[in-house]
Amino acid sequence: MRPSGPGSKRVAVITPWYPDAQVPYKGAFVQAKVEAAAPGCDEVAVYHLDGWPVGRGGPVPDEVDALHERALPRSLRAVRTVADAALYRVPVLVPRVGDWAVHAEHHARWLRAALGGAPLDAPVVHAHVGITAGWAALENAAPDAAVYVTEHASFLPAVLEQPAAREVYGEVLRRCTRFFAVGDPIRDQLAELWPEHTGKVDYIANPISFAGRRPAPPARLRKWLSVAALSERKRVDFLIRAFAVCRRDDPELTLTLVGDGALRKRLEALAAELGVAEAVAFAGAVDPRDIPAVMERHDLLVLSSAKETFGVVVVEALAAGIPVIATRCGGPERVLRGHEDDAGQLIDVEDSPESLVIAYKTLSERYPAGLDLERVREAMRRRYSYEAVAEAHHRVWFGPEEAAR
Amino acid sequence: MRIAFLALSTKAQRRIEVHAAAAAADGHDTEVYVHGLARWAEAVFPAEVRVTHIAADFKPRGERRLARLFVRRLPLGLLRRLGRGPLRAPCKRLAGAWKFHVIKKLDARRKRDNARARRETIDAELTRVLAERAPDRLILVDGGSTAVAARILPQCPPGVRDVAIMYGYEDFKEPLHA
Repeated sequence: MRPSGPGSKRVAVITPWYPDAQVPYKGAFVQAKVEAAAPGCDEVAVYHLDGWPVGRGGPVPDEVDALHERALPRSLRAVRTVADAALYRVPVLVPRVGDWAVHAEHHARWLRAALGGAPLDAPVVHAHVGITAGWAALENAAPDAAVYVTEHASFLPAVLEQPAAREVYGEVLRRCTRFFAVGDPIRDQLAELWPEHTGKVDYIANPISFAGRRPAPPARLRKWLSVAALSERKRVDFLIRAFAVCRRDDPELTLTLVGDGALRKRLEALAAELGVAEAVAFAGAVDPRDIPAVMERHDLLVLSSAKETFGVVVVEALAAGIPVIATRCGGPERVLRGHEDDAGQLIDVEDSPESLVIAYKTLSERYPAGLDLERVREAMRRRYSYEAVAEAHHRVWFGPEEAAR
Repeated sequence: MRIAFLALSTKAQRRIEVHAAAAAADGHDTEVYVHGLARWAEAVFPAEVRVTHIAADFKPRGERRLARLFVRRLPLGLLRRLGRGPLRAPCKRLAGAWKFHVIKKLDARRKRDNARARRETIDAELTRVLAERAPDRLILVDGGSTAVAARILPQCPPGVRDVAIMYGYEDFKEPLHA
């Protein structure tokens, strides 16, 4: 029989991203959270609010709206996803405009339509990102349901620049039961705008798999790895320049770039121009589930980003048993607090590849004796493993006593 | 069951490939309606999936010869020739203004007309194909295909007009709540 009532552990997860056949890594972290937290719940239903832009900038045409209104409630079906959770894909028609408040309203409206006007049938609702899913969750949760929101979005500053979106976001913060940020930059930004809600904003981690690892630590740090989109923010050009400088001293160095993006052609040209094209492999996008295995085949992870809310790859690298060089770009310094020297080398975000070169040379000199990868891995496991993240979620959702059961 | 994927643009190409292959593997009579020979050239479907190119013969209208002569070549050529001497700066400004106020607007109008013609051709052909094949399920894959369905379904015969609409094959492959 289906569990019900106030004590039942039924959870609805609302998310604008979830992996599908089109983009298998989109929202992989939401899927990982579901996989971690669903065991121990009576029932988990994931509502993937998939934005479908329509038109050329104006409102969604009436006839399109009417068709969707008619078809959506009839066609909503669940499929099984990870950990036996139910997954509902909800296509959300949105006008092709950059107004986040409008998008939030459309997400709330189409979720309501998909549910046939009834509220979400769960005493616990957890949304990912304040706008759009957080608003959709609050507008569709049952009156007595607890609504939690986790903010991951690195584009949050752009959202909060819009006055209407900022107003909606303030409402999300006011009405939700508790709010989580996956990194300090997000928390700082929210605290600055809404100091009255600072006490409501907490920290919650994304789960990382600690199942596999290198059989032995790398003997030398020669196989560099970057797992990052090839975009301006990730500053992979600095990484390639730093790699070219270091390779002059050690021609056996190689660099693998996992990830794709608009800058790919330009970066390939840069590698050729610097004479390191044969040592730099552009591996393209890789399924997130394969990342740990890729990490295990390399000696060193380098993260050269200008900004990261969390920096999941840093923890994944340490879980795989390889050291890291990372910029203090928001996430990594929080993740590695107290373990900086054990894990590798942290550097400031600078407008030059020079700091990466110095970091590599310093790290090479003190490797392996100056690091304690085992200790830092264990510390990361206690905080970011599936078990740890599941426990944190259960404590929040059902209280400490229920979580301990 | 006859399943038709309305997949005119390639925005959700990978998803359509996977879902259409799954539908065919489940023994359904599967058809995918696409538009744009070049952009769908690299799509991979199993042999059991029938791919129908909608409005495959549609060719956008180019600029007419006379218009090209009188709107582009003659005035711009004249200004170029006049601009070789001391009138260089005003001729350059005039050419810029001509391009901005006349040529750009005519180009935009031609593009709009072409888009409308393309839409009408697609709608007419798709309405005919749907009426002919009468699928049991029409699968919408993105905002564009939803908009096309909203336009053409009211024009279809009653049996087709009320076709069951689904959003992706995975949604009804393994229904939990039948």
